Amino acid sequence: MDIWANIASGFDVAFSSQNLMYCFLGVFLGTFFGALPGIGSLAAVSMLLPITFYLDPTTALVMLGGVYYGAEYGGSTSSILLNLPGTPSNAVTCLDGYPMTQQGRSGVALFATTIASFFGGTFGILMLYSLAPLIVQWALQFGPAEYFAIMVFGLVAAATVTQDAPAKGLAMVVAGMMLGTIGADLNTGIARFTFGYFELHEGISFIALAMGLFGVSEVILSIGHKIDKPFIQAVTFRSMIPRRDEVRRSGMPMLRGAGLGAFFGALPGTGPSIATFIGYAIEKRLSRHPEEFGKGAIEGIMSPESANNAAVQSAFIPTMTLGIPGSATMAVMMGALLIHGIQPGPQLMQENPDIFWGLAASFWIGNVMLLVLNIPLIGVWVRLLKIPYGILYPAVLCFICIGVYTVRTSAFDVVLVLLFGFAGFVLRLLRFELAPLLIGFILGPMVEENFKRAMLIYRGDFTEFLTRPISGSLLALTALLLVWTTWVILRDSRRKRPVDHPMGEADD
Amino acid sequence: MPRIDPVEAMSGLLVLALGAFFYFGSMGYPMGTIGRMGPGFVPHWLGALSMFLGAVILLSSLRTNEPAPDLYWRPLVAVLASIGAFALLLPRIGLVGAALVTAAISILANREAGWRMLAITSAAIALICWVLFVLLLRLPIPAFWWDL
Repeated sequence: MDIWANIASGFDVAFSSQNLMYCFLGVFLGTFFGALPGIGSLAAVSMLLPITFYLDPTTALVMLGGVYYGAEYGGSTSSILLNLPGTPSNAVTCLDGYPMTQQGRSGVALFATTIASFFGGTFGILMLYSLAPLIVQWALQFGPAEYFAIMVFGLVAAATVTQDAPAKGLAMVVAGMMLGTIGADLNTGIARFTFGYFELHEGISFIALAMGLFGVSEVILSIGHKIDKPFIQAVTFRSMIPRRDEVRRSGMPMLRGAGLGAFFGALPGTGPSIATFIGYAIEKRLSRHPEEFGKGAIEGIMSPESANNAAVQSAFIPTMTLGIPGSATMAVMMGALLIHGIQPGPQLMQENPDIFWGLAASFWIGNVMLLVLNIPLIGVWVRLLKIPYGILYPAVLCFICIGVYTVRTSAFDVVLVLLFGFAGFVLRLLRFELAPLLIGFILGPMVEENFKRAMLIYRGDFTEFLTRPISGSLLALTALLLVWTTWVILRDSRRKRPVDHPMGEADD
Repeated sequence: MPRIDPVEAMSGLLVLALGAFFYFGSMGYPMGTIGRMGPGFVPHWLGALSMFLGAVILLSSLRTNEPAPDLYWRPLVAVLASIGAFALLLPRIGLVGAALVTAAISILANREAGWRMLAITSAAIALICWVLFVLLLRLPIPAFWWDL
């Protein structure tokens, strides 16, 4: 298989006028929604999903992919200007981005994060190009035991890495997996926990769960905090020029961020947010001036933004090669493929290589569009943030309801949004992280299916999982992670207060 | 006497209760054997795991102590009611009416919003939803009751 021929054919697909147009539409709408505080890439992709039902599958994915990484680009705008993360994975950018705004240097911050995002995105795409074909060759030999081990590792990593309270993270993963068992059992067709509701036979609608847990609870808490008329300073082109020492200090953090992001993005379960937290923590530790962090250090925005966008791109690796979504937003995208009758996984790359290579090419084109679009349009996104939240949130609620209703034409799903909105609100007040729940819900049914299949093949002998090299080493890593986490809990319990989260409290 | 952190204690109880629900609830389904698992097997043991984690969280509530969080009753009730109204109204009066009522109820969450702001904003949102989703994007949603 000639990789250059594949890349060239991919660009052929991506450069068709239809795909270019939808790619542009996707990145534009993505940046728009991402820049609005409180609407993350997950909400943006879910709301726009119904539009793509009538497109052909490649074009649909080109557009949704554009929305996804466009939202991550745009999310940094409100982090920097308002100290409100546009998407959860831009939260770290507030730490040093907002102090830069307070010093009147928001132009530099916005310009720098655009460059970092482009760099990270490009790095992630290169990883996608080089790793995906290798993993596919490998994945064709994977059995259910390997799939099971990969997903368990991803779930445990998502719950424990960078979490304040690993027990609560694990509890959320398990809760998500339990919610995932609702619906008809795959092997027997017996309806589990449907309470007599026919609508629950196909399981809980993932979009309803995600919109309720994240979208609605976010709206409730934001109104509860305060509805302010933000003060926003004007951003001129001249104000975007960074100081020379800032350019010099930006290179390595950007590179380290991209590497971290590509790694954590490619792991199923751990997404961009974790990569940004770790990237920030590493820069702070490596810096010769750690006291500048939190006061507008440029390293503190370069590494997380680069990591974020690298992770977004590399999250496509497990999705496309294994059929395991790398993040919650990827699960919606995978849902979009399934709606079009395409099952992502190693067979997809073999049978429909044009979909994969066309997508990968369109991602890079989309990143170039974002770079070209964003620098002149920063002023427009800034003005967008002047819309008061009091007008914005009723519209967001309507869009959420319409989006959820349209996916399955079901008012029942809207009622589920209500229930999960309440649940998400309570869980957030109790300081649970919600992302692990969603990941557990997505991967849970796949874990169950592969576990059952493996146990059927091995006649109930669990040692097979441990003796097969790939699944054995992944499960050993998982055990190591759990032991390490337990050690951290015990160590911290001797101290009075838990260790500082790199994010701290996002005080406003 | 250790102080008990209300947030952690509630968290632990919640996880414990959720686990118990699935642990005992799955007993009504065939369990099967380890080599040939029935539909009850996986939720049963996930429930057990969840109860264990709930107990761990409950234990940890004995050592930390943080203030209980604020409750936001007004936004909570108004936002949830607005979503309920959408689910109820959409199949009966169509998108425009449902969006109008949903937006209006949700604006009640904002203490600072006056009646004029409520009327104008909710009308504008209903109009935007109609133009955007029905006229431009042509989503298969009934716009008015005569489209049902």
